[in-house]
Amino acid sequence: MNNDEILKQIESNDKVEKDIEVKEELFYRYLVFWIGEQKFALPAEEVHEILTYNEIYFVPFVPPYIRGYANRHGQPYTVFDLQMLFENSGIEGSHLLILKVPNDQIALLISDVDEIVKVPDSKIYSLTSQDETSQYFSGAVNVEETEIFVLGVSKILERLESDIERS
Amino acid sequence: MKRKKSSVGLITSLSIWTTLPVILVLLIMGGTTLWVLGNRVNMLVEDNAAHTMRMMERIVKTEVDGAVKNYLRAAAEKNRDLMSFFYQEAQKGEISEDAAYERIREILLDPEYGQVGSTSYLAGVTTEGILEIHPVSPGVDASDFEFMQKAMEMKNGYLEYEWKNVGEEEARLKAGYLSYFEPWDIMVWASSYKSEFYSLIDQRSLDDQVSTIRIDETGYVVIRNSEGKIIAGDDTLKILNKVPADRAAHAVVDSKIGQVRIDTKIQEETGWQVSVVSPLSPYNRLLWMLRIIIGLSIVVSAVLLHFVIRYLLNRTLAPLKSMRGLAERVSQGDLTGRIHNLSEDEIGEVGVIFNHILTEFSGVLGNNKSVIQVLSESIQNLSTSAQEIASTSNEQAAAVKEILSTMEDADQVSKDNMEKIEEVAKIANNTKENVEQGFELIKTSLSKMEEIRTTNSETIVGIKTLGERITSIWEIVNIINSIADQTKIIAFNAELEAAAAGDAGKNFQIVAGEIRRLADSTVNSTNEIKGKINEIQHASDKLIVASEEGTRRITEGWDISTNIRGIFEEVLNSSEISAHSADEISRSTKMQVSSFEQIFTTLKQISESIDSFVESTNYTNQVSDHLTEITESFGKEIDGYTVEEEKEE
Repeated sequence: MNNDEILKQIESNDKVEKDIEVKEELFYRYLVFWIGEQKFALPAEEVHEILTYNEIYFVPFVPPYIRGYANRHGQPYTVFDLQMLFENSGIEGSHLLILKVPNDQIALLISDVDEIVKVPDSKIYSLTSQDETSQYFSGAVNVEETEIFVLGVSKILERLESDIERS
Repeated sequence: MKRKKSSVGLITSLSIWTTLPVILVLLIMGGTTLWVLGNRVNMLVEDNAAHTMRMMERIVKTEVDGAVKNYLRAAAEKNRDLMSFFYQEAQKGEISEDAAYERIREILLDPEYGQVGSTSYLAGVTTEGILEIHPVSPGVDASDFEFMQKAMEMKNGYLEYEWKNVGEEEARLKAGYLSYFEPWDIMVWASSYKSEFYSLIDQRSLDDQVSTIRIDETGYVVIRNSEGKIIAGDDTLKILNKVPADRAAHAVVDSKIGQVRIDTKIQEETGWQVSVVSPLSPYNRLLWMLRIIIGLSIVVSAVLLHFVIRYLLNRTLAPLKSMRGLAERVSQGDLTGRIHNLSEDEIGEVGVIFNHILTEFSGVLGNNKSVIQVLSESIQNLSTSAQEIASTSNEQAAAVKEILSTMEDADQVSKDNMEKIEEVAKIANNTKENVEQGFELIKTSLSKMEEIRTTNSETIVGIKTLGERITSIWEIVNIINSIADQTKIIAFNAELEAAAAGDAGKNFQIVAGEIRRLADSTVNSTNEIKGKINEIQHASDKLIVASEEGTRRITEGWDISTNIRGIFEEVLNSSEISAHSADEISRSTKMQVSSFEQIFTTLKQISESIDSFVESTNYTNQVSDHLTEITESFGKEIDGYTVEEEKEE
């Protein structure tokens, strides 16, 4: 795709945006990524940055889903291994998602980034069930007729806090 | 009959062959005699004419000289007498001596008195040769001239000399007479050119002399002057005008008295033509008579000789006739006759010898008869044995011919063998060549296999190298992939940043999305590449396996070919040996065949020899038969002769 085509698309996008606005339908952006064999999603505004091949420094006396710390521009970030949390088995992830969490510096260890999708409001669902596994998800999005869970970062942090308190 | 004819011929031919040479000799002799005589006669006539001519010249010269001499002598002596007269006058004292000399000198020098002839004059010359008294050159010494020396010696007399007057071109004959007067020592010299005195010659006396000359009664002499007018003699036959008056010529002309010879000569001094006419007819008549006599005598002698010879021969051949009769009897087989009445000469001796031969021949014939009997018996024996030999040799020839036919069969068999063996040898040689070719092919295939093996190994190495290269490409693809991943991540980050920026980041978000998609497609492409690389690697792995399998197969093939080569070497050796052996056998067979042929040829020769021997024997038979016949006929011949003994019996 050359620059001209990109510019045209941008122009057309502008028009779409206007159309959307006309229809008064809201779109939200989600980052879809892989942890192990499963896709998860996060609202785009909650992700600060994606890091690759950062070294993770092991920290003792932490729950097993805390892999350690990663160095980002001199700031330490706590690296979560969600698969360990969900299925009690670690992943060989190579990417880190730097999350926008107030008063904390949290990173998620993921297998791979899939895409960033625009999801209309109608395709966003809230979770109703309260089982063990679903307690870490805030909801789900339907992307191309596939249900993808949206991670609830606050809930995961609550679990950590509880775990730390327990220990 | 024939013999009789030949005896007559003998006499005739003998008489002819004896008469003919005699006639020939007589003819030659007679012809020669006639020719010599004719020549002699001609010479005689010529000599006679020449003699007459010389005589005539002498007569003319005598006439001329006599006239001149007398005239000059008269002049000289008259003047000497005159000189003597004046001298005597002086002696008498009538005049002085000088005056007397002067007088005579004047007289002598007087032009009219002193003239002699038409151009000459009188002169007085001393004995010293000085021209004392001379009208032209007085006092000149002429003693150097030859004629003057002669004159000085003579003092008196006649002399002739060549002289050239002053003013004349040619010297002419001059005559002079000297008369010496001693007291004054003067020779009175009367001289003149001789030609000036020819008018003084007495023509009648000359004519008288010439007219009396007769040659053979009818011949005569005529003298004509240089104009052709007759001076002396008479041309009675009127024939002188028929011949040209050459200086010296002779001609034969016909006249009324027959052939005449005319000799003409011009007299030097006078220029007169002297012609001598000699008649030839008397001599010609003589010669004709001689010819007739010689011819007649030859004919007569030939006839006489012929008859004499015939008579003599008849007489001589009479005993020979009786001998001929006896010989006829002998030729008819009667040997009893003998010659009788033998004469005492050579022919008689021949008769004795003939008798002796007859007796001897009778004896020999008697002997021959017994010899022929023995000979005929021997010949019969010879004939019998020859017949025996002929039958034996015929049997022998048949046997040899049988051997020969057997040998021919054997020869044919061995020739067939030889052909077959030659074929075998050819096939063996072909096999050898084929095996050699096969061997060469195996060698070639081995080397090709070696090449294939080498190439295969190289291929495997190449494939391995390719695998390594592919691995390195894999690494590169991985690098590209990681870069694409990173790019994707960065794109995500950018998108996230754009999302965070809200409406302001919308466009940027699109750019970031595109970058991310690009990265995704890159990753997809690299994944495809990876797939391809995997395929390639699989394929190359398979290839390597296949190549190694191929190598193994090739090695197996090579081993098999090596084995085949060994086997082929053995086959080659065997085929060489077999070809060699076949050649050897072929050569031996050829030798055998040639030996057979030699034997065959020899046998044929033997057979031919026997055949020719048989022929010879047959010929011998024939000869002996012939001999028998000859002997028999010889015996009959001999029996045909009657010998005395038999007669006596």
